[in-house]
This record gives sequence, structure tokens and C-alpha cells, in this order.
Amino acid sequence: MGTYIARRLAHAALTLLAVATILFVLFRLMPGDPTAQVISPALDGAAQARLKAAFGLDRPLWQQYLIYLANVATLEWGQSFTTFEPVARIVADRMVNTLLLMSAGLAMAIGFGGALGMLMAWRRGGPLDIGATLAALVFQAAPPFVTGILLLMVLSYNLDLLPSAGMLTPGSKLFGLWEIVTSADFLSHLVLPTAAITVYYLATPMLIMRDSMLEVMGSDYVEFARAKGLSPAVVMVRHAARNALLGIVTVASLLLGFAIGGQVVVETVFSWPGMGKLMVEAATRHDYPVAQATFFMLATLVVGLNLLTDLSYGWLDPRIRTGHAR
Amino acid sequence: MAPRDGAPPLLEVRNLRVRYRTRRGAVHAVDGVSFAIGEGEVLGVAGESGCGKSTLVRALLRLLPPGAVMAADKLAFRGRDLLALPDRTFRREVLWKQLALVPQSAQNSLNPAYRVGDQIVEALQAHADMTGAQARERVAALFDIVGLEPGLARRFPHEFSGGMRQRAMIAMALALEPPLVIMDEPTTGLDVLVQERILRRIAEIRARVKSSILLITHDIAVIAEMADRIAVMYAGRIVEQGSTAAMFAAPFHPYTLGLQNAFPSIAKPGKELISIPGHPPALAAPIGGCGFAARCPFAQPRCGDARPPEVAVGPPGGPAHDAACVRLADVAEIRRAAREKSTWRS
Repeated sequence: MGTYIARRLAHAALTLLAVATILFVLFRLMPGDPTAQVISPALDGAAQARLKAAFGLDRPLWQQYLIYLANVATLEWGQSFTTFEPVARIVADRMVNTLLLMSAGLAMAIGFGGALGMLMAWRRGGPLDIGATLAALVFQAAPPFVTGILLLMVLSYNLDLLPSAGMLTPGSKLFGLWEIVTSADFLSHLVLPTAAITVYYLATPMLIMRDSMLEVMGSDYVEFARAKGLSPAVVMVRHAARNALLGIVTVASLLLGFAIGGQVVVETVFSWPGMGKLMVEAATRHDYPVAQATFFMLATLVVGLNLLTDLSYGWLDPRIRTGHAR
Repeated sequence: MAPRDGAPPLLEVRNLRVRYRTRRGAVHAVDGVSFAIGEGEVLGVAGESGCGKSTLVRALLRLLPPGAVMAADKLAFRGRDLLALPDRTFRREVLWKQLALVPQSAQNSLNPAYRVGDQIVEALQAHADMTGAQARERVAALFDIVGLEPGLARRFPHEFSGGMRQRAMIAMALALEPPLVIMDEPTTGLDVLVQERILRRIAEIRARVKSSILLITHDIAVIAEMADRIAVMYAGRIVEQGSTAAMFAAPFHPYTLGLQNAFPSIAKPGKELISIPGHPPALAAPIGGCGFAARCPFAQPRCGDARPPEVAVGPPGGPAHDAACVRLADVAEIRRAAREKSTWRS
């Protein structure tokens, strides 16, 4: 297990290095001169050169790259071009907000999807099997901004059950992460965006779980568990679903890669003050330091969650844990 | 067929039938099987693949897939009518406590996600009122009985060799000392040395645990070694059953004769092996006459007329021996001809 973890960690580190490098290149290949935002082209040549030297932009590219990497590693992102706040501080809060919404949505999608898939396979061809397949595919085909806006329309504007935007009611006096996430205000704001993410991502884990359940249910150890005289519920959950989970975990890590797209859209629709919304804002305002930081931190988030999935894979399948290849 | 003293047999099966409904009509996998197992007895059920042995096991354990229909005139365990038991009661009171299984695919019957010992603990705690510590103690004792290091209980199935898994499955079957253990091909898929060791271990265990065994196998040699009585199955029916000694010394049914020809004998080394040409029939349509008639070198036109009844053929007063063949009167001639290889060429 130790080497397994070490290998996964090395993988994650390498992925992040690649992301940082791509960002470095990308921001230097973009049309238009990003430095024009700070170093006005109206200044005379000597002043421009002095400013460039002050930012280190006169050095050779490889030196700039190394300095950049060191800054990335220490989360030193500089200042926002628009608010002049340190980028790290802006990003930190947003990161937490995104993490809250994303993990709630994905946990619901995977949890509900897994449970539904399990029951669907157990009663294969039954009404739940057919109905849930249809519903999940409809929701998956509908873009999250459509389901999101429909949810807002019905539950927020028409029925006035839930707040329509943001993470907290404006002027809220809550302080500290724990106080916020346990407050009714936060939770009621969380419901709609979470629902939008859940229904959008539900289909994949559900259908995968159904599929791997069907496969596992045909295996000898499930039949044997029945022969042991265990109750059907125990056979379904402890013997069949436990092994079918591996399939879901594999999918979960794939799902995470796509999760960002939906996250950006949902945060924008629900005005959720997270990284996705920040990314859109930064991109439209040409706030490059912030944009760079949001790209990198979202990538970090995905890589980190992927790492968690990999580790849970090791926990779920003892053959991986003990280093036996089969 | 049943032991002839007054007590009811451990398991009594009369006219058991199992049909699978398929798109092409019903398949009669088990077609009127009757047998009984006495207390402490080992009954071997022999036959080729596809003759209904596995379906018989599934029917007894109520593990038939959906779409299978089972019926019987009588299915009784120590006099208790199993047919009348609701599933829940059967699961809780009969399975594993009374009737345990060493499955055909012992290699894949352990759940890869759990430690081997925990899987036995699970079976124990599902049926007996035991604390975790008591159950683990019992597992250690069981491992000792089957010749596994008690420490191995904490290992996962993938860390076990084939022979070790087979022993673990036997330990699991013995967990609650059930009166009847069904062993479905207990040595198939193991190499010869491991097979031999497992058989010896089963024999040792029999001396300590008084369980009856229903031994299902296509391997005549295993049956010869272990069984007190043998039932030979063909095309979903029992064509002959009797004591092991009688079945080997003087078989009556042509199929039994053919099966014996097809296996090497330790008593007669160098014996030429003769196989029975053809395959068991697909059981899609019910067979009117004798199921073996199509492959039987001794078949006559009347074999297809009606299903031959099981007739007592043993010596009067001796152990029961029944065979279902219309040419029982010609048995001496048939036995002689069956030894010739040319007889079995189609």
C-alpha cells in the first residue's frame, strides 16, 4: 500500500507540473500583450523597460519559467489587475466555496446514482429500472444551465421556497467556516445548485453501478452468499454492491474531469461565489493573475479529488492494497 | 434406496422435477428424481456434464434462477416437509444450519473484498447466536480441522492457493456442523496431488464430524473412494442407484457400464479406456422413453416407448439396488458385450 500511495502522489505532482507548464506557455502565446494592462504602451521606451525589469520580464524565458514555478509552488500569484488584492487571498475563499458545492453535488450524484443503480440491477427490468434510466438520461442530456434555470424558475421564483442566488443572504453576520456551513441560510442556498449538479451527473454513476452490479450478481461468490442463507438485503449490499463499487470509483475519477465544466456553468447561473464564477469574471476582465490562479487551483482540485479516488480504490480492492496484481 | 430401518432418512426426495422456461420452450433439467440419504451416509451422484447434477443441487438449496420451476412429490429433511417452508424460514433455519454447500466453483466463491475468516464469521453469525470473539475462535478451530494455519483467517482470498481456498470452503461448510453437506465437484479444477490431499482430508473429517454428504461429481474415481452409495444420473433422471460395492461389481444399466469403461481403474491398471460416443441430449423436449436410448448400443425399438421404471435388482434382503432399463433380463449378455470396444462405436 505504501508504494501504491507514493506512486499515486508522484503522479499527482507530475500532473500539476504539466498543468503549470501549460499555463505558463498559454499565457505567453495569447494574442495581445497581457503586460499592456499594467505597463501602459503610452509610456516611453525606457520607462517600459524599467517596469519590465522590475517584473523580471527582461530575463530569459527559462529563468522566468523557474521563477514562475517557484511562485506556483508557494502559491504566490501576485496581485489582481483589477482589485489589487493579493490573488492568493481572493482565490482561497473561492476555493473553499467551490469545494463545498462541488463535493456536495458530486457526493449526491455518486451516492444517489450508486444506490439507484444497485436497486435497478437488483430488480432488473422493473419499473424503477426503466423509469430511472429514462429520467437520468433526460437530465444528462439537458445542459446544467437549462436545468439550473428551470429549478430557479419553479422552486425560487414561482414557489419562493429557496433563495435564488449566492451562498448566503446578503448582510449575513455569520463568521467562520463551521458556523457558515452549519447554518440554515447556507444550506438553503446550497440546495438548488447542488440539485442542478446532482441531476446533471447522476446518469453516469447510476448506469455504471447498474452495469457492474449485474456483472457482480452473476458471480459465484454472490450465489454462494445466497447459499449461506444470508438475507437478500445483505447479499445485495455487502456482497454484490461492495464489489460493484469499484466500477463506480473508476467512473468517479473520470467524472471529476468533467465536473469543472458543469461547475463553472452552475456557479454562474446560481451566482455562487466560487472558483468557476471567479474564472469567468477574471477572463472577461482580462485579470490574468487571477485567471491563472483559478485555472491552476481548479486543476489542483481535480487532481486532488482524483488522488482520493485512487486511494479509495486501494481501500476497496484488497488486491491493490497488498500489491497483488491479478 | 432408503436405509431400511424405521427412522425417516435425513433427506428424502421423491419425484423432483425442475423445468427452465426458455424462449424455445421448457427444458426439463431434472425429470423425476427420487433418492434418499441416511444419517452419516455419503451418497455420490455421478453423471456427465449437462445431465442435471448442478440443477439438482440448486433445487435442493432453493438457488434456482428466476424462470426455473421446481416441483416434487416429497422433499423432506428429517421428516420436515421442506416444500411447505416459506423462503425466509428456509433461509434462516435450513440453509447452512442443516444443509451446507461446498460449491462447484470454490475458487471463485469467496468474496474478494473480505478476509476469508470474516466470511466464515458472517455465516456463523447469520445462523448462530455468537459474539465476534466466539465466532473467530470457531473459525480457528475449523481451520485446524481442515489443515489450515489459523492465522490465515486474516488473509484475503487472493492470497490463498487453489487448495487452500477449497479447504476454506470446506471449513465454511462445516462451520455449524450441519447434518448434510452438499459437495458439488469438490476436487474439480485442482491438480491431482491437491485433489488427493483434499479427499484424504475429507475422509479424516468424516471420522470426526458425523455429517452426511451428498457428493456430486463426474469423476467416478472420487465417488469410488468416498461414497457409500452411488446414484447415476443421465438426462435429468437417475438411471441406477445402489451401494458402491454393488454398483462397481455388478452394474445393471448400460450407461453405468459405459461410465466405468471411460475411467481408469486403480484395481485394473492398463485397462483400455472406452468412451461413450455422442453427447447427453438437449432436454428441450421431454423424452418419452429411456433418455439414454439414443446413445445406447443395446437399445431396442421398445426403449423409446415408455420411460423405464426403476426396478429393484439387488439380491433379496441385501442393500437396495435399483436400475431403470427395459433389458434388465439380458444383463449378463450386456455386461459381456460392454467390455468390448467395438460395442461402443456408433
